[in-house]
Amino acid sequence: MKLSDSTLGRSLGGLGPRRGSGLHQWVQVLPFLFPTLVGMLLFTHGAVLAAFFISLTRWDAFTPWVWVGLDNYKDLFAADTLFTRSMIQTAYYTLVSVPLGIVAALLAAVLVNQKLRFMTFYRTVFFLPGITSIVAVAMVWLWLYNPDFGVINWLLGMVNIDGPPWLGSTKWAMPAVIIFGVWRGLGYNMVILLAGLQGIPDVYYEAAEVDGASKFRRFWHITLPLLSPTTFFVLIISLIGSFQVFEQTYVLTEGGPAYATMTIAYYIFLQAFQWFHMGIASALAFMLFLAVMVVTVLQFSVQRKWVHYD
Amino acid sequence: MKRTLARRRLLRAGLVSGAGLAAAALAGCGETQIVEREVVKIVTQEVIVEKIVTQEVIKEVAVEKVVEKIVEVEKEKIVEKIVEKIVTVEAAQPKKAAVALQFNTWWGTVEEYEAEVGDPFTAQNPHITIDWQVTPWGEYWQKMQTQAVSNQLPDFFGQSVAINWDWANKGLVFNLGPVIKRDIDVSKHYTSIWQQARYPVPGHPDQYMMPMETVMSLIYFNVDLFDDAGVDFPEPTWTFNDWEEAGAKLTKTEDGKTTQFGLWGQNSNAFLDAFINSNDGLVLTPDFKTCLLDQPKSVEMIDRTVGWISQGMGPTAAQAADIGGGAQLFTTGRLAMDITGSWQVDAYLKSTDLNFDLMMVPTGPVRRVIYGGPDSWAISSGSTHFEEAWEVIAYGISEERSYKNFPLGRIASNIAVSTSEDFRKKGRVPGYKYLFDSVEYIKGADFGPSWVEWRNAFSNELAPAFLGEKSAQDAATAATEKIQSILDKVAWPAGLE
Repeated sequence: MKLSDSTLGRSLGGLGPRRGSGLHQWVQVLPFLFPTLVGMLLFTHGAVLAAFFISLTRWDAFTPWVWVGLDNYKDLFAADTLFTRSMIQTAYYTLVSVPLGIVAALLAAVLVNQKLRFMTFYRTVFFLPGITSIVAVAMVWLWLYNPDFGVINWLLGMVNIDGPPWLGSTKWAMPAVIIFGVWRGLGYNMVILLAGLQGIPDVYYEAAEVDGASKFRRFWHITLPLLSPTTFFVLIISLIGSFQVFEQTYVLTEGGPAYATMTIAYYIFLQAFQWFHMGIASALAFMLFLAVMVVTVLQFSVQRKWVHYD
Repeated sequence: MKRTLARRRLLRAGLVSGAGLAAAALAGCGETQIVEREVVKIVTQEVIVEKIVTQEVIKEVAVEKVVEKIVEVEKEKIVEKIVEKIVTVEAAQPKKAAVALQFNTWWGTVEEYEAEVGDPFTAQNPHITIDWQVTPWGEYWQKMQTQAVSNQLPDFFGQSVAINWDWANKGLVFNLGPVIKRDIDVSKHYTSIWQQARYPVPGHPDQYMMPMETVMSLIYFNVDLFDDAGVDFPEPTWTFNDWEEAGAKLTKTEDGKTTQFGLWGQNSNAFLDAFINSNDGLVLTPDFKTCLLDQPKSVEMIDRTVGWISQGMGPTAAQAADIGGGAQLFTTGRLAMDITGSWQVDAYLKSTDLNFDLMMVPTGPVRRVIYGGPDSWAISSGSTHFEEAWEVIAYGISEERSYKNFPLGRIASNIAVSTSEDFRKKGRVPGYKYLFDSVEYIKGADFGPSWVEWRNAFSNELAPAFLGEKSAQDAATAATEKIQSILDKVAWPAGLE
């Protein structure tokens, strides 16, 4: 970032230098940036570097570390079947929950964007799951998912569908976790998309209406394209969030049954804070970081094709 | 108080001496010359306060006897006597430096610890004060681990048998073996349970935590459901055949679905390990180095447990999933019998609608084995007050400690405390006495190295068998392979690799 005299002048309340070299300007600015810079270098970049160093060691957090080089990384691919499995399950969670979550949030945003009475109340209702204690709501969902006495299977039974065992099945446990995750993230995504919807000027809809466009065509050709920057933002944060999915599996299934919901973030937690394999946990964290980075870079590279900023 | 008493006694002594002198004076007025001599020897002794009281009582008697003798002496006109008087003087003891200990655990309440352990202990040891802390189980280990990493563990703390081995191996706790040998009369304790606290293997003299109390598994049965089904209550003579027979009678189905489960034996250390052991099967070898879960005797019992679920007698993990890990099935009358830990007694007694009782775990095909494990206290290796912390622990397992401080469903380590009438009455249900009868059959769940890690593999690898997705043999084989790979990585102490 380049700092101009005028920028500095404004930021320093007009007391900044009127002229001078770039170096001179930095010398003046650095004391103000120093506290933030130190904090960031120490607690963000420093921590990342430390984690990378730990990933090259065998360390249990209590006894001295032992340098193992890239052995932890090699072991992940060569010997650790749970690593591959947790990565696949994280991809499964991401591929299903992100599109489902965005579509559900968009529908909710469109619904609460109507000019109806009690709309603030409806918006609050949609947003509530996101701010409620996850442990408390997980207890409710455990009951909802009960295969014999749960409300979900009771409702399915009303339409002659024999409900699955949900959390007790290796096949249905992950879908159950995904449904819970989408429900929980709905309100947050909805608020962002709602802000995007309200930023679209009415003139476009009025013009389309004059041209005789149907509601669906107005939504498809006006709302979706003009909402695409917001949708892209929601997509990126949802992707990152889904790669890091932890709470849902922690409170609902603890990675089970039979590792069916073992996600990479939960596996890192087990390795680090249950089994004290800090080296392996750090290596896993860097693999997760790589995966998130690759997917995010891909998204940024293809966004030009579907995100419209004008 | 002590000063007042001492003064009174000194006054009495003075009076006696005065009486002696008066007698001598009276004798002097008569015709017969009486020679009277009184010798008062003052011996100074340095004794502790408690001893002073005892000694003074004895002296009081002695003084009274002297008075009687004086009367006799007058008659015989022999006055010369020696009154030996020992005056004990409270010596200034070397003042011990004040020590403030920190303690944390996950069970009980701070008020209980203060009232039942802290206050009586501090009364005897005024220089030691204890800051009691209780952190709920959910957050306890996270807190302790963080403190351990930063070398800020409390001086002594509640220790789990599940991680004792690993913490001892990492040098986070002190070895209590030498002080146990020095200070504890082991014949007063259920020492068979202490074997689970030994490191690195049972039988070794090193012990890195002190069991304070023990939990164990029991049959919990719903009295009303038994009455409704006309099934006899469980007996101490029951085998697992009787258990299965009763379970089948107590199971109710409606439209092909089980509406009332007859029994439940969980895929957990509170049941399955002991069930396997009762058939002479093993999960791990006694040296914790080899997994034998895939051996026929072990697989047979896994298969038998899976059968209860596949026959509809027992709930699946999903059917039992709730806050209490299945407790609500029992409290709501949808489960007739359950074998689980004695820690549930407290919760079930609070459930006013539940009419339940307890029974010992049945005998297996070969013998009776009951799961049990101690809740213990350990001393942090970072503590600079080892002796003081040990004094509190030694008090905590002594018969001086009140029975009130032991939660329901726990047997105190001290036999005298556990067998006291008050302690036994705590359970309030007739079958509570079976906790005490169960002690001799208790075995832990191979609480050795990397227990938390290999236990995760145990549950997850066996789960497909319980879900009907794999045979018991296949699941046990996969579990054995995974567990063995974890055990193979254990950093054993030198000489035991």
